[in-house]
Amino acid sequence: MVKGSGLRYRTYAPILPPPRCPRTGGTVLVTPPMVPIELLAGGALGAAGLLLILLRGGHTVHRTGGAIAALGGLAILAGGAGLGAPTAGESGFSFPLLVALLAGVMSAAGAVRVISSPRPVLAAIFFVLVVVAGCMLYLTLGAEFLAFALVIVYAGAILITYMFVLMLAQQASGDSKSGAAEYDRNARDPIAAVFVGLVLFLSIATIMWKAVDSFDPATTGQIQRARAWIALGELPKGLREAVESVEPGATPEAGTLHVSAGEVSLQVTKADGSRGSVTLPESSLPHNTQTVGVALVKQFPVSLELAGVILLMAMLGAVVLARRQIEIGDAQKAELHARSHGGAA
Amino acid sequence: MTLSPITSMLPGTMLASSDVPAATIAPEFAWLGWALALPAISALACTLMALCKVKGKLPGWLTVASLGTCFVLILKAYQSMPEGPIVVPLAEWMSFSWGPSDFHSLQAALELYIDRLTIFWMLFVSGLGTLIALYATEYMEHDVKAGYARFFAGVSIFLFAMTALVMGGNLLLLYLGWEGVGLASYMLIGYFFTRPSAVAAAKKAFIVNRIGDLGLALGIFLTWRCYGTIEYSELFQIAGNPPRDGPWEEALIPYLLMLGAFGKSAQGPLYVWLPDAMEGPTPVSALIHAATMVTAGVFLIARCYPLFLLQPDALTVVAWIGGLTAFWAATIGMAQYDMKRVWAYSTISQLGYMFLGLGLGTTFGACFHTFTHAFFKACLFLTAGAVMHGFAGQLDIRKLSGLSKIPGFRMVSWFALLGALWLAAFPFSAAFFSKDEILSAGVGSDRADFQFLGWLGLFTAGLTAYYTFRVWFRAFAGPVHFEPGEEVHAHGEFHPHSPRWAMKLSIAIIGIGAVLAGYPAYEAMFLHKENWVQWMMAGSTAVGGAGVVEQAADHAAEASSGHQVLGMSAHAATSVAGSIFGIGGILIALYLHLIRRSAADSLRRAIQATPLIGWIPGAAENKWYVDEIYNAVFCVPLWVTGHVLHFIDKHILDAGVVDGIGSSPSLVGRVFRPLYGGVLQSYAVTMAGGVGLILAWLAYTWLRGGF
Amino acid sequence: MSALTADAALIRLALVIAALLFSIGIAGFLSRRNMIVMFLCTELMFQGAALALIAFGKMHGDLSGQVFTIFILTVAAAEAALALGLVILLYRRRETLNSEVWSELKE
Repeated sequence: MVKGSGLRYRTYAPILPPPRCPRTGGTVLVTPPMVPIELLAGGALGAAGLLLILLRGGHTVHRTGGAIAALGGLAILAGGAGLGAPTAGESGFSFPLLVALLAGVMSAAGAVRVISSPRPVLAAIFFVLVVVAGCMLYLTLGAEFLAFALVIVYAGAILITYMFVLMLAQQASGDSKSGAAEYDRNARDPIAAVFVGLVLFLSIATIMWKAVDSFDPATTGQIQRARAWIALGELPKGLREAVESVEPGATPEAGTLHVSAGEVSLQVTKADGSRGSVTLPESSLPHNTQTVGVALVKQFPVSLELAGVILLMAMLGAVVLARRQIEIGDAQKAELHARSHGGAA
Repeated sequence: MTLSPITSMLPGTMLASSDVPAATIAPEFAWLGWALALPAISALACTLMALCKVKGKLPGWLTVASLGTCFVLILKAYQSMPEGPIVVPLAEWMSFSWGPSDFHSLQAALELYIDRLTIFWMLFVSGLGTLIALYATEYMEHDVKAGYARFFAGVSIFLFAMTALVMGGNLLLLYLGWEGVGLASYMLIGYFFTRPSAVAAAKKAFIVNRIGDLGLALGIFLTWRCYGTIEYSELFQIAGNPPRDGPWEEALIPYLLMLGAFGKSAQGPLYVWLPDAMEGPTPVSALIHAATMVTAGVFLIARCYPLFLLQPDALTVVAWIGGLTAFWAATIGMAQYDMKRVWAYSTISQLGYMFLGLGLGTTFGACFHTFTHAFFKACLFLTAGAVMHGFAGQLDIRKLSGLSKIPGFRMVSWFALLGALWLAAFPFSAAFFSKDEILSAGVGSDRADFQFLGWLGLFTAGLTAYYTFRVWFRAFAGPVHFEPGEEVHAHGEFHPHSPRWAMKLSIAIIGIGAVLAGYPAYEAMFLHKENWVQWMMAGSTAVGGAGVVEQAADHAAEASSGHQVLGMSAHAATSVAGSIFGIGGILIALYLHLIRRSAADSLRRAIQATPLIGWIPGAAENKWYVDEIYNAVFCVPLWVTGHVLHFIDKHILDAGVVDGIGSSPSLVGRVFRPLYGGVLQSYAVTMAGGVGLILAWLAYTWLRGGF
Repeated sequence: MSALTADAALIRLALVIAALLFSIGIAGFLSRRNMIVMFLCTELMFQGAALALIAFGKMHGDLSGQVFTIFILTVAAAEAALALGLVILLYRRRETLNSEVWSELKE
């Protein structure tokens, strides 16, 4: 703390260490903005664009201007998140990052279209786009199993259900020239909605943005693949085969798996009974699907059971709700009665 | 007998404050409690009858019976009374104690303090009460179906309260009776409550009495603070001891008590309610507003005389107020046309004499005058009531003439003449002696101011004689002529209906009583016995405990050593001067109002034509505009203040603050109501917005390094 | 500001997109009046949550994120089934998908 200066020094949590002056190493008395400038600018621009799109659903000028603004905001956000920060070491740019940028923009733009499209069918189709873009993001994050599960469950099942319901309900209310109902063309209270969305976005995104600052590269990578096995105390079949191919007759010891950059090492008991270490290539580790499956069954069995129960209850509920409930008035009763009697006669 | 420097300054009887004999406790006199209970029972019974709408004269006779029994009880007490004062405990009442000393306790038992003063007062209160109630049984008969029972309930309440006032053993009981007679007075003045003037008069009496009662209450509080007791039996023993509070508080006590007395007895600036109180039925005027209740102030000062003796300046104030009120009221009485009003002003005037007597130190004179006045004034009011009863409410002396020549009104007229002579202090009437007793104390005083008051009183006696006989000569003498009043019920020619036996009997007994009231004086004058009234004062608080012999000795000493006035002793001089003034007034009245009535009118016109004094007759007729001045000085500012405060209350406090606070929830609600339109999404907006704000706050706190 | 690796940039991008999806979902839920589209918007919010879970799982090298995403998928499917059943029910009552005709919650 510098005494006598008019500026106040602010204490920071461990998450945000006080900024150091690069030249002297002393404490800098200028506080960085609370919300990252990229989030603020991109969020505000995107919100303005979204508002323009929502305010006058049918107007071309508004829609165009809004789309441009929203895309600009999106670009700022995506660029700021993926590229804006200086990268350490080798290259700050990689192929997965490019894919992720593309997928992210696609996903967000699709989401905007979902909520702004006057026709529910189009909204549902744009939702498929969001799901597919999400799938690409999952892939870049190394969650292959979930990526495909997402496409199968959402695009294959949920969205189809939506389509059916739309067809069931829309046939009566689909009116007039544009083919969209009045309540679909006009948004309700868009200013409040967008404002609430912006507040939520800035809060959530700021927390997340700052959380990444504490990212430790050592914890990521292949460790997550191995962690389930480490916890399991048991080694997958592929790993055992790999050990066999390197050191025939050796028995790997569970719980000794160690993953470091590009390499996997573990303790084994050799055929002659002596103990030693075996180093394996990274590719010999199990794949994401395997690890997720094992984690699901071995580590989180209750959540699996719960998911099953929830699905069962949802099925029952859907059956009960969707059953047609007919209310028959007195006149209709008499008519039915007469009809049945007439049929008999 | 010790002569303190203070008391030696006083003319008349020389007193020492500490000489009031100690009271003995006499439970065997508990039967006197019936004097208190009987009127109370009668009041309750009459109230019940009023509620049950009893028709007939039962309430009246019940009241007469209970009051008569009460009078008999008092007579019995008079016969069997011991020498000194006695305290008759009846029941526990107030008893508080919160510490060791006298100043940490308040004792006020339901008990009677009986000394000769008490008996003296109760004799004429209960006696006159009985007679006037008897009179009222006939007088009020036109009201039998409506308010008869209510009237007698009021009379009974009055007698109960008056008994508590006079016989009560402590200042708290006195206060209870004081407020009780005020309440009865209020109820009976406003008896004809459908008449706005009666309602206004009742309110006026009640409100003006508030001022006096406040003084009395404060006086009682201060008495307790200074002496630690309000029981007479203790108070008069320790009065004069150094008080607990400073001299200033002690000196204030008599002034505050005096204020109470002035309110109740219509003295000084507080007299204005009494003339208006004539709106009540005439028996009420006779009983309450002439004979008994208005003398409560005299009784209060006589009872608390030891406290007054400690402050001679207070007695001087009493004398001045009394003397000036006597003169002032007499001047107004000279110009009134309503018979009852004239008697009302004469009551104020005569009460002024009594206070003058108290202030001059001759409590004997004051009480004597109270006694004689009670009879002759009741007699005058009852005859006025008979006239009013007979002529359908007519009391204007310009519209009545020669009543003594109308059959059925002869007796009334002659008793009215008797009352008028007594009021005019005609030589050798009872009032002549009692008034003489007061005035000689002033005229024969060492002090110039008291001498002035004495001569003023003598002059006032002349005025009194004039206005009294103005009424009598106008209304009862001269050619027969009358106009009925407004209360004519029957159609056709008006016939005055003369009073029957009950009214006549009451008037006769009271008239004879007025004559006999002078007997003690005749006895003292011709038989050289002690004056009975003086004997009744002896040993009581009114004379500070001095006995008859001491009083007489003081009298003699004063008579011999006092000033020679006009070459005679003060007594003789006063008698002569008083006779001259009285007879002179009567003669003037005789000339102006009987022999040549036109001379009165021409005299009035002549005065009005004179530049400097031309305003006097009109102003006197309008009571010197006192009511108007009070209205302008007190009522109008209060009225304006009240309306301003009402405006503030209604439009600023009520409309602004209270209603503002009350309507604020609905205003706030109007702000938030659109959020609750029933549409799910509007609730969702609120909820999501709230969640967003909470999240933003959490993020902010977390990033600042909170938690 | 600490330097970022390529992985960190990726995770941050995914997190921002997740927040974006969630917020757009909220905005849509609040502004659209078609009940079916409103539920579509809740699906958008699910997408955002799931993406955030996966990104954090990657960041911390932990599988529970992915497991929980599976759970979310299940809940989303159940929710879709129930919600759509409800929508059908409501539609039968009023012959419209407009959510504003349901205002019985009015005070």
